[in-house]
Amino acid sequence: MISKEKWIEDTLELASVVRQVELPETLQENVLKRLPAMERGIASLQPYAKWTIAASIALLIVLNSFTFIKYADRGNRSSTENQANTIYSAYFSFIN
Amino acid sequence: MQDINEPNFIKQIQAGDEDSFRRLLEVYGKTVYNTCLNFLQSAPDAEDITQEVFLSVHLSIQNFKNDSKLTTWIYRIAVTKSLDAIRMKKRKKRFGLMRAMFEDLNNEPIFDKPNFDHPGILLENKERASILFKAIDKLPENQRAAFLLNKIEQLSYNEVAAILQVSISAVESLLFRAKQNLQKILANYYEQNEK
Repeated sequence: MISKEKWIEDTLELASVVRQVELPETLQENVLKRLPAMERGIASLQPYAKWTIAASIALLIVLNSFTFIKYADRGNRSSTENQANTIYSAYFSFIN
Repeated sequence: MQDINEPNFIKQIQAGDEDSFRRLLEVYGKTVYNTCLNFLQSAPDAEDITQEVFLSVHLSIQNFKNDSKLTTWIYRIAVTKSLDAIRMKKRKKRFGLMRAMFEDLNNEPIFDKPNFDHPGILLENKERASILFKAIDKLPENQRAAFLLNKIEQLSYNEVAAILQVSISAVESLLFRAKQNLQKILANYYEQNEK
């Protein structure tokens, strides 16, 4: 029976005897087949994709800024209205 | 690996010359496939990732600057893609585990990775090699990468350092820790099964 240490060393040694495997036959052809499709995709996108992406980002920024400004303004207005309502209700509190 | 790191050859590929790309596939295909096979421990996965690697090479060859060897650059893509695929598999495995908690899957051990029967190992070593590959699979990513590249791909410390973009001393340290961890994992296995 072999000792534990020897067994471990022998097992680790197997890493150096792994031989290279041949490439599957269809692999090269599969890669080459996928290339034209990929190129076509990129080529058809390139001329206007850049501008579409840029326009989308610009639109997103404008919409976000607009919404932010609008809601910030509404927030300010509602807090001044609340303040005014508190003063008026205090003034007319004797009615209740 | 036969090195074809010639500026003209790279320029031809960059210019979209299909014959040059075909030659690139011929020269590097086997190495990339074997690297992926050692990392992923599955022939179909290795085939898929090898395809991904070459598609990636084709896409980003325009950005290749001669600051590293072409071989190193391709190896780096192969290692990154393989590690990404492993991470993706682990995520799927975690999701499957969660699903199994809620569904009855007839107690099938679907999460146990099957033994890896490496086609490049002689028959008499197959059983023990599959134990070694299971142990390698348990190593942290960087230790696993350093071990596989140095011990199985037989790359020098310099080459491993260039691929992993770390210093040579870092490679030495990774290999030392990888060996220590593998010894622990194998000792544990021996205690449970071989004794």
